[in-house]
Amino acid sequence: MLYVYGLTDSTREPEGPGLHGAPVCAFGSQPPFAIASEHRDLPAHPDEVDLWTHERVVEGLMNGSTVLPMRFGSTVADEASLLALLEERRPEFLSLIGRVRGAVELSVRAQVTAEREPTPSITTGGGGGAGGPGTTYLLRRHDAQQRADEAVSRIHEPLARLARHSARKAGGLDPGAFKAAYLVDRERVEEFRARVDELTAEIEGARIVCTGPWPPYSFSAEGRQ
Amino acid sequence: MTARSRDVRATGDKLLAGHPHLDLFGDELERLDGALRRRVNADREGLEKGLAQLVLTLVELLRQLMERQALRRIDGGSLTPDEVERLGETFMLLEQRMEELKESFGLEDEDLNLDLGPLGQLM
Amino acid sequence: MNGDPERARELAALKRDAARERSRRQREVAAARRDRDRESWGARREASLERQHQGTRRALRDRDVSLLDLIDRLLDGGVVIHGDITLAVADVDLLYVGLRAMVASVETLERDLGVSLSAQSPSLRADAF
Repeated sequence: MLYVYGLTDSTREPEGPGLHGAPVCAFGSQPPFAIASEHRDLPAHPDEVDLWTHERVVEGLMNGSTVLPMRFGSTVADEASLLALLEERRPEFLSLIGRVRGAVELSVRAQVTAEREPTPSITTGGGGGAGGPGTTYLLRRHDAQQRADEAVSRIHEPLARLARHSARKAGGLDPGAFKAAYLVDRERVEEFRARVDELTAEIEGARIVCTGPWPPYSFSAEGRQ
Repeated sequence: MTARSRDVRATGDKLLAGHPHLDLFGDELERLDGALRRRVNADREGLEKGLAQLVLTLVELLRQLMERQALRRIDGGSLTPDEVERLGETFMLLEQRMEELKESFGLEDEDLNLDLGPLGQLM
Repeated sequence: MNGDPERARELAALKRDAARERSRRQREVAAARRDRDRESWGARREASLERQHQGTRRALRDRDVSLLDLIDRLLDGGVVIHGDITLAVADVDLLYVGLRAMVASVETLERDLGVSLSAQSPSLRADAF
């Protein structure tokens, strides 16, 4: 089987070795080329070294060309199926490669804290005994949600402005938790990084962490921004 | 950049800005310590608690989804004051019931954030 | 061996009362905790995480942070092909894939349709779909 690391637009010889020391080569006669290594079999459960190996191969490719990274664990039966796959989805892959060319992915996580919940400011309007405990409960939750959304916006908006695209991740149902990926032009990475530092200082009680640069994992499929 | 420094770059240090506070990652630390190795809960007590954990997590998840839906409708102004009160009371009761169930199964809040292994946290 | 049915019934009743009393006390404790916790969901979350990690008191290393973000990307992102994913997701995990997809789709559905999916809602009619 062939283990695939990513798709690129360049014929540059990829650097290896890949998983379990296997040599890495390029497949295909025209873009997109697939970068893969051949294996008899692969153990069912990857470990940390395997993950970083995959990542190292992909990042090595990023240095000279545009890469669309594969999801970890992507394999095909043989070269024939690989070439067929490339042929079948060529337009899609080329379009995606074009979309990420010249950019890297930066990851942001943030946690905003809520102050002590104040008494609700929204009323549900006159008439009737609507001010009961249930109403109070919901309005308190509403306020907390709203304040969290606003706090998150103060982080997300400025960063999104520095990026080509952004992809907000499901941060869970905790309204104060925020996770997103940003596709940022290589030349703007430093500016982005500095903005994160600024926001951390500006926003009271916000915790932000930024990692990267990563290959564009979060922007490698249609439907993701 | 030399090949060697590229390797170092790709193996471990991706922190670009900010500080890694625990609560940004707390829920996901399970992934580090367990997800890459399969942990099998083979004992019966663990299994039962695991089932309770799964069921209660789902209930909690649905409760939160429904609550958010209610909040959206409050925003949209499509609820009467009586409906708001009834909904609020229901959610309060649900939350209370969840607390009781968690108590009786000996589960804490953090137990209800299921680690789905490579698929991340449910919530 | 006490075969007296009267006595057996007495004992059963005592057990029931004891259980009821236990539940009542538990509910009281839960209610008190709820009131206390309602002060701030942020503080509560922090307390929860503190409890969770009391046993694993080590500093979060940059390397850990990088690995977590790497895992997020490798397993949730990237190009997906229809070949075999052999470095697997075991069968049991497929259950959770379904759950996760369900959660995501409920939220999307609600947002896109602008309807409530609660059973009581008048907008959920038989002919709505």
